[in-house]
Amino acid sequence: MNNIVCDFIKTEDLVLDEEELTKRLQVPNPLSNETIRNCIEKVLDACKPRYCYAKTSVLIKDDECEFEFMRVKSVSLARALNGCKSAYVLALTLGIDTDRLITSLGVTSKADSFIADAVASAIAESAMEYVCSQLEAYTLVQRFSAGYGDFVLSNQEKILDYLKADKLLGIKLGTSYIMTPRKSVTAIIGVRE
Amino acid sequence: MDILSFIKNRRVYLDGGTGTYLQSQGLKAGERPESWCLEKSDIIENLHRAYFEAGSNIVCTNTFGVNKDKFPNYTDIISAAIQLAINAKDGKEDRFVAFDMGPTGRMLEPYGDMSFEECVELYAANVRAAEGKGADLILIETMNDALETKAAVIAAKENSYLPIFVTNVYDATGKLMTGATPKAMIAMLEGLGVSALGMNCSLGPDKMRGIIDEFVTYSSLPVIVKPNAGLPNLKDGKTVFTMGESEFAGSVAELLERGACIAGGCCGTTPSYIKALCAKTKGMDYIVPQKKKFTLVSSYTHAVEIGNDPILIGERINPTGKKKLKEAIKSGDMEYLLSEGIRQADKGVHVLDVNVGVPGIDEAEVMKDTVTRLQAVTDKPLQIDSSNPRALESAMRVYAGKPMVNSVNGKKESMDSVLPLVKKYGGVLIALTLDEDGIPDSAQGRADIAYRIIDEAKKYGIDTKDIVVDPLALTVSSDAKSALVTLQTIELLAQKGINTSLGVSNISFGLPNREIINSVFFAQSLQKGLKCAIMNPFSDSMMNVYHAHRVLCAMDENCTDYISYTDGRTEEILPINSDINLKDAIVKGLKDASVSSCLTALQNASPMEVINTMIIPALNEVGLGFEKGKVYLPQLLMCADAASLAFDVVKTKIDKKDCISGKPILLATVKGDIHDIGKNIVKVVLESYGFNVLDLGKDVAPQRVCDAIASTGAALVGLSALMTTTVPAMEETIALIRRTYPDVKVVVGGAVLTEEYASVIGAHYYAADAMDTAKIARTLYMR
Repeated sequence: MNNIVCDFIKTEDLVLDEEELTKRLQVPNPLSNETIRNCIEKVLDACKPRYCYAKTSVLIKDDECEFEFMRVKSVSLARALNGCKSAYVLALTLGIDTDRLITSLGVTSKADSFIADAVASAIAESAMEYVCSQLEAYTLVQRFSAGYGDFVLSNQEKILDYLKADKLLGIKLGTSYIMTPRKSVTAIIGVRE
Repeated sequence: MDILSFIKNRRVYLDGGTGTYLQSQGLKAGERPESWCLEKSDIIENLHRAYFEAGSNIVCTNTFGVNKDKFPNYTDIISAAIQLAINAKDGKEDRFVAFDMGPTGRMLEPYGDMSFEECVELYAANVRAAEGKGADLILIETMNDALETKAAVIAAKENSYLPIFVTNVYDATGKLMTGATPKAMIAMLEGLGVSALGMNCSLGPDKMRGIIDEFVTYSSLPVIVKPNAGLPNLKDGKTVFTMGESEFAGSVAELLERGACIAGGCCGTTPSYIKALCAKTKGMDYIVPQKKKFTLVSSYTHAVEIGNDPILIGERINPTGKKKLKEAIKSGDMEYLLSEGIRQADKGVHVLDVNVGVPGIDEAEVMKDTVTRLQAVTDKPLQIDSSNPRALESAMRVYAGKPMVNSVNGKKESMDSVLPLVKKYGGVLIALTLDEDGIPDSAQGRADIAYRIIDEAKKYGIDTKDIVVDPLALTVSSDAKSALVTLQTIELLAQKGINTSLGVSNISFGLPNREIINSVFFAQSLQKGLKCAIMNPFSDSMMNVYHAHRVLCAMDENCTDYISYTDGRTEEILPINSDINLKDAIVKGLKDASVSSCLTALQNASPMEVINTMIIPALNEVGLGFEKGKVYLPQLLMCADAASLAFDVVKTKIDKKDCISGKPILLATVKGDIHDIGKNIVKVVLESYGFNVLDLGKDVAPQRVCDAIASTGAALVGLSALMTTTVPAMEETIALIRRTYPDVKVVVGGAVLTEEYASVIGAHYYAADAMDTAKIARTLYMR
């Protein structure tokens, strides 16, 4: 096993960012709407956020980044990790029950399903913020995910393998590199020490 | 000696982890340990030998992550891996080799993109590669999804005679990552006929007592424990497991005292842990697993026990006498069927009966699809109901648990075709008391058929506990004594400890006010010992009987369930605000009010008037607001939901010729893409405008779209793609449609498309959003 830290997040510890929610739902003051509040409650009830991460050394040479577990050519990632000698690699998921909730809401109300989907994305975002606040480092650079810029989505496989995300979090990867549970995120965060 | 005889009366030790050991030998992060079977075979053989010498009776081959997708040379790795373990036996009789299979890392449909058969084939290729190479058993381990576990077990059963052991990963909530409890896994795995089951990895042994107690309570098989060396902690930048050898051994010893039979270690453990474990527990008494008598059915999350509390089986997913459901099944409108499932589950049924027997469809395909989709939206166990053995099998195969199977009867032909399926896939089987001579008119005659079926099932190894007898209710309108015979049969079978089930409402067929007869008969049957009732949960009088019976028979502690049931009822009869008119109800997105105001509106206006003067203007108002940015997407969707419900009400009063939507509109997210939010929004908006929409779902192959055009005569196809990588699939789909059906129009949408791009790939129309699609559809269909 690599040096992987793995834990749950209590939903009480999550701060739902209203701005994020506004952006995703395209509705002003989303929390004033009862339907949206109900959906938030349902998603918070269904989701079981858990995460894992590991710290790896990183060596940047031109447009190539060499981690302990992979070597990848990507101008945008190299730029994002510029000046970092190490990085956190992390994965997070809200769990399959969130998918189930969104799917079953979709049968009876597309509106509820759409709202729950957006709420779940916003919750995943706050969960990610929470995990970042747990990382010990002097300075963390902007987090970077597979699919950004020229850091192609197929790198997801190596990241999930490295973190044993299947075993620890139940994150599975499809043939088009889409993760299940759907509300799952991976990221690389450079550390400037 | 074979492994099953070896484990019969003694405690057996498995090996421990490989990661810690291989890392000490130089395995790098990101490097796949399985490739060492070929590259550093001496290290792998030494590892196995070290475990045997430490006291393991069984070592697991170093093949955890091997499959044909990840390793092109998987057959070489598997052969080598088994041979290395065999070498390490050094010819000793009490050493065994388990061929190890771990998870594929992919998720099965409907949440993921791997079909059940694809998953079975991945494992089957491994099993075929291992077959005949000298392994003593197959260990399926570290599985965190019930359905993937089932696929692996089926692959093993279909390609090998080796005994199968299965261990799953349970987390701190005591469940699999995808939700199954130990009891649900026991039900499924015992049904599938594995030889031992339990848990591995997960937590440290100290955290597993509750899980092991549940295993020992419900399982008749030897229980396996293969825990981690405590929880991993980061210390000075290194992962350290919290437990040392002796603490680990002490904790596992406690699990063995609680009744676990087969023990080993997982992450963080090494040969020294196994040595300590053996030393600590060798002298302890061995507890032989006892046969349990629980009748369990399970879903992907939980098990339902038949025997004490009566079980309600929702009967509504059955097209017999239901025109709307029949049409939904024929046209492939799965949503209506799914909503029937969800609504029944909300009413409190424990199991859902699923019958899709409509002439003119491929019942096996439809049944498989229905079961797959239903288990995505409800966690209730399913009762697979068909007279077609092929339909039963196709559903039993993909069902993520142990289903109820409806049914077998006393005819030889029925037993010959259904019993082998239950033997292979597991299930609780409903046995109808009829045979070649018909339905006996005495209780003893019916009971005799039941005994015969039970005896025949035993020959296949199907336990009596997995048979639930249906003594058949025949209408009292044609035979005055029929209810009495049924009640006597229930009583007779209950005295012998045989569980019974009944389709209660048949009793009143042909009579007026059937609920009166049904509910009293239901009460009488429960009193005689009926365990399962296939019934209509929307019938208040039936639900009243159920709740009252439980209170009166001391099954409802403190009357808690009864009180919450009656609470819900008061709420339901609250008057809905009927002052609001239909148009306002839709504009405001009020679902209940739009149904009630639509009913009111229909008293004074024709269906077409209601559509044209209320529903469509409401939608147009909301649509206009949306375009101007005054109405937001969730509101648009709420209005569309409300309008769809109003449309459902109108449709019941409408003549087919008046419908604006003769030919349906097909919608699909193209092959390779599983983003369907946008497509779903389009669907609901189109439906709210009264169009007949057939949603083919996501990840739809071009040919399937053309097949659907052929079967429905659709004039418009809407395609959606959200990823740049899937636009070529969209182009391919359009080309095929244009070639095959030049008159059919295609509208495309999705985040990566523009109007220009749409015309480049050959689409007739580009829609920026759902309202745009509705406009295009209206122009096309109103011509």
